[in-house]
Amino acid sequence: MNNSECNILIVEDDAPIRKLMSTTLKVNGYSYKAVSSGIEAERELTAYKPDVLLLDLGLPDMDGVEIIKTLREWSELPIIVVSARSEDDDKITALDAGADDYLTKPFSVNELLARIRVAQRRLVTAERKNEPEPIFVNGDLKIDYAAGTAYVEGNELQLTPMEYKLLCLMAKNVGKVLTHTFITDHIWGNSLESDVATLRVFMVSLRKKIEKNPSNPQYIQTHIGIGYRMNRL
Amino acid sequence: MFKKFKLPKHRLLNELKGLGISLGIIAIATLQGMVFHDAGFSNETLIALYILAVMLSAVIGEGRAKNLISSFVGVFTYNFFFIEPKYTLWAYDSNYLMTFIVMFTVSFLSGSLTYRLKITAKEAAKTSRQTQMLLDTSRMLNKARGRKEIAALTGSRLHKILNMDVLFTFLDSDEPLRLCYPASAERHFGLPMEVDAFNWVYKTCKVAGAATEVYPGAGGLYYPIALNGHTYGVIGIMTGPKGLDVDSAKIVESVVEECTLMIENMRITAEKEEEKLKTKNEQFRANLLRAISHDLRTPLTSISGNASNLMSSGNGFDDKAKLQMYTDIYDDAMWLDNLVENILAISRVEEGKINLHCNTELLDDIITEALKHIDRRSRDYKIKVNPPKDLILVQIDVHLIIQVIINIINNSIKYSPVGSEITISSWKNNDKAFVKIEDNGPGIDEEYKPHIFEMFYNGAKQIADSRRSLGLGLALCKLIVTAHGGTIKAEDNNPHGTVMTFSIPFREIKIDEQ
Repeated sequence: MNNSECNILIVEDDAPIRKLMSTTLKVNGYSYKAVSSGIEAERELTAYKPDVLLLDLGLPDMDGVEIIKTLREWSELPIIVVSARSEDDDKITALDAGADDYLTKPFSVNELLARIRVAQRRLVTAERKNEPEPIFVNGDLKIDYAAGTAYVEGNELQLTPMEYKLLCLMAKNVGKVLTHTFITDHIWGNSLESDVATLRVFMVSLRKKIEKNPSNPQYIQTHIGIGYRMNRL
Repeated sequence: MFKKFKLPKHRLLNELKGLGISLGIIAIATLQGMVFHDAGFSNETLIALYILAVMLSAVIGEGRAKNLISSFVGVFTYNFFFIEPKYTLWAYDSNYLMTFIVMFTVSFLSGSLTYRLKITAKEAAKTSRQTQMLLDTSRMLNKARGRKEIAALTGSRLHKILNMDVLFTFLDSDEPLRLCYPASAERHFGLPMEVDAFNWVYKTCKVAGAATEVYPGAGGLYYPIALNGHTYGVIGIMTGPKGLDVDSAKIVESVVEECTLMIENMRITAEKEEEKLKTKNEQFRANLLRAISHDLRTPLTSISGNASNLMSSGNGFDDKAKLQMYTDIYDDAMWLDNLVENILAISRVEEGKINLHCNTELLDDIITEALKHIDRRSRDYKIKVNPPKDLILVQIDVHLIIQVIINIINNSIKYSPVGSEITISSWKNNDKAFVKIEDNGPGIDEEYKPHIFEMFYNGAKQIADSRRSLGLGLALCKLIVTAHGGTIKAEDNNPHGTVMTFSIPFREIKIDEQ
C-alpha cells in the first residue's frame, strides 16, 4: 500500500502535537485528517473512513477507550493510541479494549512513522486474511497450523505444547501489542498474577528457540509493563 | 461486671469434709488422752491436748463451722471420757463448769485465729502468684513491638494462665488479625452463637458471653479491646457455661487493660509519627518545588532562546549553526523529559514511602528498556552489557527500577569524559538480584562520598550550572531501591571510576508444564 493511499485519522486535542503529527504525515506523503474531539472523531470515522486511527486517550469530551470499544463493534481498523509514559493502566485498558498499538509521549517522529508502518503491514495481512491461512510465514519463521509444527529457516522447532500455543497466539495477532492479561487469558484461561511470571519464563525459552539473538529479539518484542508483540518482518 | 457462681452444695461438702477431719483429729486426741490419763498425766495436759487438736484441725481442714463444732465436741469428749463421773456429760465438781467454758473459749478462739491465719496466708500466696503473672505479662507486653507481637503475646499468655482456649482479634486497621490459642480453637470460636456474641461485643464495647447477661449460653466470654471511644478488637475466652471465677476474671481484666493501653500507646505514637512525617513531607515538597522551578529555567531558556533565534533570523545562520541549535533544543527537551520522569517518581513518595506497583519482570528486559532512555550523549561512550548466566525474574515496580538504572548511567555519563566505558552486569544470589554499573571515569571525590545519596546534593556548587542537576537522581535511586527492600552502594573502580551496585528482590519460579 502506498503512503498516499493510506488514510490516517489523527484525534488529538493538543494543537502543537496535532500539528507535529500532521506535518510528519504530510512530509512522508500520507493522506490524513486531523480532529481535536471525540465527537468529530466519531463523525470522521464513518465519513472519512480512515485506514489507520491515531487516537489520543485524554480527549476533553470523551474517553478514548469508549471510542475504541464502539469502533471495534463494526471495524477492525488499526488503532494506535497516544498517551504519556506514566499511564500504563490507560494503555493496557485501551489495548484490552481493542487498540493495536500505543505511542508514548514524548515520541520521536521516527517512532510515529514506524508504528504507522506496522499498522499498514497489518492492514495488508488483514485484507488477505479473509480465509484463515493454514500456514503462517513471517521472515524465517513458519508455522504450519494443520500439522502443529513451527520452523525457523526450514528447521523444525522442538517446542513444548505451551510454547507452541504462545507462538500461535502471537502469530495470529502479529503486529498487535498483546497485554499480559490477554495472553494469560488465552493460554491459561485465567489471569492470576503468578501467571505473568510463568509467561515470562515461557517467553524466554520460546525466544531461545526462535530468535537468533535472544537478547535482541527480532520476532517478539517486550513492551515493558504492558505485554508483548510479534513484529511483522 | 460478672458474677461468681459458687454452688452452695460445693461449699457444704467442703464444710462436711473439714468437720470430718476435725472429728477424726479429736478422736485421735481422745485416744492419746486415754494413754496420758492412764500414765497419770494431769487433766491440764489433757485440756492442752484438746486445744491442740482443734488448732490442728483448723490448719488441716476447710470450713468455718467446724471450729465451733470441734471446740464443743472437744469439751464434751473431755468431760465424757476423763471427768468423774466418767462416760456422762456432767461433773461432780461444779468448778469444772468454769474449766469447760474457758477450755471452749480458748480452743474456739485459737482454732478460729489459726484458720484465719491460714486463709490469709493462702490468699497472700495466691495474690502474689497473680501479681507475678500480671507483672510477667506486663513486662512482656512492654517489650512487644507492633500489633502482631502484642496480639500473639496477650493471646498466648492468657491461654497459658487460664489454660483455656483463647481468641485474639484486632479489627480496627486495614490488616485485621485473628489468632487462636491453640490454633485448633478456631472451630469452637467459629460457632454461630460465638460469632454473634463476638460481634455484639465488638459493636457495643461491652463484655458478653458465658455466664453474663448477654449471650449467657455462649461457651466463650468476650472482652472488648477498647479505649477512649476507639475499638481495637475483641478477646474471646472459651470458659464453658460457668464463666470465669473471680480471681481469673481479675487477671483477665488486668491483661486486657494492659493490652489495650499498649495498643492505644502504639496508635498515639503512630499518629504523632505520621504528623511528623507529614510536616517533613511538606518541607520536602517545598524544597523540591524550589529546586525544580530553578532548574527548569535553564533548559527552558535554552530551548526558547534557540527557537526564537531560529524564528527571527533563521536565515542568518549557516547549516552547521542551525544543526547545533536544533540539537540543543532536542537535548534540553530530552533532559526535561527525564526530569519529569524523576519528578513523577518522587510524586509517588507518600508519607516517606513509595507506593510500589510491583510486577514480575525479566531483569534483562528492564536493562534493555532503560538503555533506550538514557542520555543522548551515551553515543559518545562505550556502553557494554554483560548478560547474566541465567534467567532472572524480579518482583519490582518496573518504571521506578528503570529510572534507577537510567539515573545511574546518566550520572556516569555526566561525570565521565567522552569515550569512557560503562559496563552493566547483573546476577543473582540466594534471595536478591543485583545490578552493577561500572564506569572508568574519575570516580567520586572522598569528600562527596558520604553525601551522594542525599536529596538536592549535586557535588560542588560551581558545577551546578555547567552540568545542571537537581541532585535528586541518586537520592531517588536510593529511595526506590530501599522501598523495594534492597540496598544501593557506591564503590571505587580499579584503577579509577565508580561502581554502583544495587539489589532488588528476585522471584523464584517453578514451571511445570502440563
